Amino acid sequence: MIQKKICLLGGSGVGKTSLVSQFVHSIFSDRYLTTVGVKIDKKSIDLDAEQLDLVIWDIYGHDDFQKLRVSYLRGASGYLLVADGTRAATLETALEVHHLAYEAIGDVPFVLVLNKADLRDDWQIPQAAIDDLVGRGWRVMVTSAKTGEMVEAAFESLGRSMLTPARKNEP
Amino acid sequence: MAETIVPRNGEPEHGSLLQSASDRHTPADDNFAHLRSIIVGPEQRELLTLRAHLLDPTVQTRDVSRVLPDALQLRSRDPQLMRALAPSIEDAITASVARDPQPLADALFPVIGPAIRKAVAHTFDAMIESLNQAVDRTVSWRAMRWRLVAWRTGRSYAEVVLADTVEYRVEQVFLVQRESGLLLQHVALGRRGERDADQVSAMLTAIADFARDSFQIGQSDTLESLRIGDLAVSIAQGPHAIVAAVVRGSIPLSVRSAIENAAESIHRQFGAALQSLDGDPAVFAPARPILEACLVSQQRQPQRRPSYRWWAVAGVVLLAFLGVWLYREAQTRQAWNAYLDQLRREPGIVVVAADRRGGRFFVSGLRDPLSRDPGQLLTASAGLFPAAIESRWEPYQALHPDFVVARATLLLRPPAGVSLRFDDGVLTATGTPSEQWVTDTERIAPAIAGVRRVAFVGNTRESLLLAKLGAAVVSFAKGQSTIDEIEQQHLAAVVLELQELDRLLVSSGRRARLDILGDADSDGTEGLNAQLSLARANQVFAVIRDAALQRIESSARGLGQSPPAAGATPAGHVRNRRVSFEIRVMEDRMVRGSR
Repeated sequence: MIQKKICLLGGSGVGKTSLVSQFVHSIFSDRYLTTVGVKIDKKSIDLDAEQLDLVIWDIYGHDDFQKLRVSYLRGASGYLLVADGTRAATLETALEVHHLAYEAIGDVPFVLVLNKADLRDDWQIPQAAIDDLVGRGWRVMVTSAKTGEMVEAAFESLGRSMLTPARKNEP
Repeated sequence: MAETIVPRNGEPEHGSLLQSASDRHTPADDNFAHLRSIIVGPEQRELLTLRAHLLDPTVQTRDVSRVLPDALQLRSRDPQLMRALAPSIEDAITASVARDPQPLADALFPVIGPAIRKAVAHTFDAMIESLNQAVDRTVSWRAMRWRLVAWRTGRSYAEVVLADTVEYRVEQVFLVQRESGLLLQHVALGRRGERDADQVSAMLTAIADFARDSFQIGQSDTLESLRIGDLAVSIAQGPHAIVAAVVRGSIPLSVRSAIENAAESIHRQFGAALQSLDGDPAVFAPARPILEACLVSQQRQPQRRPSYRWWAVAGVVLLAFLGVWLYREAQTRQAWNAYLDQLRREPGIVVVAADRRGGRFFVSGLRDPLSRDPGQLLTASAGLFPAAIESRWEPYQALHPDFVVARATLLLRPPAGVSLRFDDGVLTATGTPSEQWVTDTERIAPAIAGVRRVAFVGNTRESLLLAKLGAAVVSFAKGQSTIDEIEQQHLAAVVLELQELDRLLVSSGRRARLDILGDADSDGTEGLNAQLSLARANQVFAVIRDAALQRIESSARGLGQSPPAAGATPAGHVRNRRVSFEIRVMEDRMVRGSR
């Protein structure tokens, strides 16, 4: 059994908490997010017969009013960068947060998650932008917290990349 | 030692060959040397340069200094190198301190200052916690027990209080990777917190970060404890891992030191693993015994150290009890004997048997109903409770004079002015009782136990009256038989006395005879005097007759002239002109010495 700390990062209201809520086990209430600024969840995934325990630090949304507490990022082996597919500005925020995270903990695996895939009609992020990021080596996944689409896959993808090049990515 | 140069092929004597060649100066040698310089000249020069280089210590030092940092870094993890360096470093530090401690003190100051502050703060926290509790419980039975324990064991009161009040139980211990908050190991009493330990461990780290960020505390300062009601988390921080103990109750200094020691010990043993953690906590399974050693608890346990003091106390208490018991016993015995003595002395009480069985007292005997209550006697003697005494008294009549008198008084009811006395079987009545009472007393008194005879001292009313009447006289003027005014008053007094006597006679059923005797002086003729004396008697008789006495029979008699002896003098003459009385009670029994 391997355990890893990962963080959920992204702007306010992108659905970070609801993205994981049905997939994780948590003993803490959402109130922690607004008080301490972080909520700890836990999720176990099986990767090629190996169990990976993810301790997920759901960190309160980054916005103009609340800056990211970088101390919460320390020791993370990877992170999910969450943006709202129906609000292009949240992708900007995600990129900003990625930059902060990179500065804080270095080059660790991450997956960009574009949430709210169920709201196809309101989708604002052009495919070109996604392709551009993928072209830069980013892993980008389109998910829906509402339907659960691709959520597991996002965790698995991150988990796999944390395990395979294990030490290379440690800060 | 570097006289020869040993080339790589191992061929010896090359250097010496070169050397000797330059010393001899034969033509053949010169040719050879020339030839050689043509063939191996550059190499020869290079060898000479290298030789000079190798033999120059300055150059060597420079060379080594160039590679030393890299060499040390290359073998930084090599325990052999550490062992080799350790003594020199220790010596160097010792020498430095011996020369001038100031530089080292300056260097360590930023480290030692906070460390000392922390240690002092810890100590004070623990003390204040304990003292608060101690103050809370100062006025309680526990406090009294502590004082007793302190006295008995010879420890200070504060020490006993601290030992007794610090009750705690370490329920869980977390080993957490400091940076990521990942749980490395978790031990607990039973299965407490097992399922969610990893989340708790992460949250604990988050809260520590939150506290530090929020209050802008320096990186070197860390969260050391959390307290929620009865539960506290004590955190020992190491460079790479933290040991957190969940403690129920107050955190004693010993627990604090235990987890700090555990943190140090784990860093010592697992330092490398902590730094290169790949997420597999199994690596730290061997650290479990260290953590389990922190799962300590202390409950209040009575000090079971029998000491001679305790026995001394027991002995003293026992002796005290014995002394008190003996004293009380003696007191009780004394009181009992005093009570018995008092009973024996008391008139009307005869103690026949007295006994004492099982803390109860028994007394039996005879008691005159007129005697004092034995219970009242008891209240006078200390140390005995009436409830503890069982008495059994048979009634009897005591012949003690006081009791005879008391009984006679109850029975005879003597009239006022009459007192009773008893001595040697004779009951004596003193005073002036009525004849009737005397009669009754003579009849009843012998029935009273102890009375053999009754005696009367002093006059009875009857004898008094008889004496008065016997002495009474009505005087007359010379040759006269009429009663003048003054004499009428005398006669009236006589009549009253007669009437009283008559009443007495009526009540006792007797009779009396009254002779009224007229008298005359010797002047004049005898016949005249006889007439005169009778006339005088009749005058008085007439008055007495009018009184209508029932039991007194009166008769008048003239005595004529009195014998000359009585009437020889003028005073005698006066005395003879009179009427006197003679009265006799007709009763055989009435024998009294008055007449």
